[in-house]
Amino acid sequence: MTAVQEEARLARAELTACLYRISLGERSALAELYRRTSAKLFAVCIRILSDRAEAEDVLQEVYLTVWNKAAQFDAAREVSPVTWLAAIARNRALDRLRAKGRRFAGLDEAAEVPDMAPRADMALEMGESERRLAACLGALEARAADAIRSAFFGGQTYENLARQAEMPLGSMKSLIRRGLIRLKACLES
Amino acid sequence: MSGTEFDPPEDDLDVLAGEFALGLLDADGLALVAMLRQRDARFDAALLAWEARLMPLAEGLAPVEPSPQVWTAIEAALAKPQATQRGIWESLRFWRFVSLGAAGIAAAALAVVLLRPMPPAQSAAAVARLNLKDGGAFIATAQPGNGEVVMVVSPAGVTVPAGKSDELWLILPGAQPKALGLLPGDMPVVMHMPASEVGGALSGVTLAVSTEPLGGSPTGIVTGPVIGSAQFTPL
Repeated sequence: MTAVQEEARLARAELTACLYRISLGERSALAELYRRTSAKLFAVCIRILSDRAEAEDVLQEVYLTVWNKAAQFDAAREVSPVTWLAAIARNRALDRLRAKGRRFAGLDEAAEVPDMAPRADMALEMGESERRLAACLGALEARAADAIRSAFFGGQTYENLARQAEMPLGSMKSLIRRGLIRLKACLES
Repeated sequence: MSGTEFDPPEDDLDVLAGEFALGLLDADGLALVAMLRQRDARFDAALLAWEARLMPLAEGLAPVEPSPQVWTAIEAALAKPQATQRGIWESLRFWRFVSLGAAGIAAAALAVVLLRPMPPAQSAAAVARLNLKDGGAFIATAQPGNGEVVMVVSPAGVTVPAGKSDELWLILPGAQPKALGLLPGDMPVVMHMPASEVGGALSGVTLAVSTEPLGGSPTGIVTGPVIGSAQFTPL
C-alpha cells in the first residue's frame, strides 16, 4: 500500500469516527468534521449555485443536516464518508437551486463558468476514485461527458439539456444512456 | 458488458437509477422510480452504486474556503434550541431532529419539552454523556434486550492520570454506587449487565466516573474524586 493510499484510509477512518461521535451528540466532533471537510463541500455548493452568499447559506444547512443525520451514515455500506457528505451537499444545493426556480438562469451562468473538466495541474490533488472517474468520463463522447457533468452539477432534466445542446430530446436521452452504460463498464473494468 | 449502441435489457434498471441519481428524470420518470423502489430492492442498491460512482465529480473540485461566519452561524443554531418556537430555519422539524440526535445535551431536552407532539421513541436505548472536569468526556450508550443491558462507553479526549485508573459506577435512585469496571482513556469498552441490576427503565439511572488507585477501588466503594457523572436520557 502506498503512503497516499494509507493516508486516504486513515482519513476515511477518522471521518467515520467523527460521524459516529456526532451521532452521539458531540459538538466538538462536528467542529472537527467542519474543519476537515467544509472547503470541499463549499466548493460543491458554489459550483452548483454560482453565488457565494447562497452557497454559504446552504453549507450551513448541510452541516446542520449532518448533525441531525449522522446516525444514518452506514460505514458498512462501503460508501466513504466524503462521498456521503458530498451527496448531502449536492442534494441540498440542488434543492435550493430548484426552490429558487433558477434552473434556466443557472444554465446561462454555468455557461460562463470555465469547463469543469479537471485541469491537468489539479490531477495531483485528486484521489484515486476522482482520477478514475475523470479518465472514464474522458473516454466517453465529449457531448455525453459534458451532458453528464452539467446534469450532475446543474440539476438539469433531459429537456433542458436537449434545449441547451440544440438536440432532439430522444437523441439526448440515448446519448446519456449510452454514456452511463459505458461509464459504469469503464469504472468496473 | 456490452459495447454496442443498444441498451441491453439487464441494464435498464441500472440506467434508470443513473438517470435518477443525476436528476434527469421528468415527472413520468420520477413516478416510475417511485413505483420501482417499492417493488424492487435492487433499485436502491443501483442508486447507491451510482452515487458512489458519480460523487467523485464533486470530490474532485478544488477546495474553496467559506467565510468564518458560516461556522459561527452553525454553532449559534446548535446553541439555542430554546429560542426556536417560530421562524428559525425549518424550526419545528429541525429541532425535533436535533432533540433526537443530541440526546444527552441538557439544552436539547428543553426543546423536547417545547415541541410536542414528540415522535414515538424508536427504542429503549439511552445515552449518558459524562463531561469530565478536565474537559474530556465519556459517552455511554446502553441498549436493553434479552434480559440484559449492553453498554458501550467511549472516551473522547480523555487522559487518565499516570498511576491511576478511571472507574465507572452505576447509581440507582437511593442506592449506593456499584462498581461497573475500569475505563481506558483511549478505547471504547463494552459492558454486559443483567437487566435486574439496572432496575426498570434506564432513564433515572446515573453513571459516575471516579479516579481510583491503579486497578480500581480496592474496597468496592468510591474512594477517589468523582470527575464526572450523568443520567441516562432516551436516545
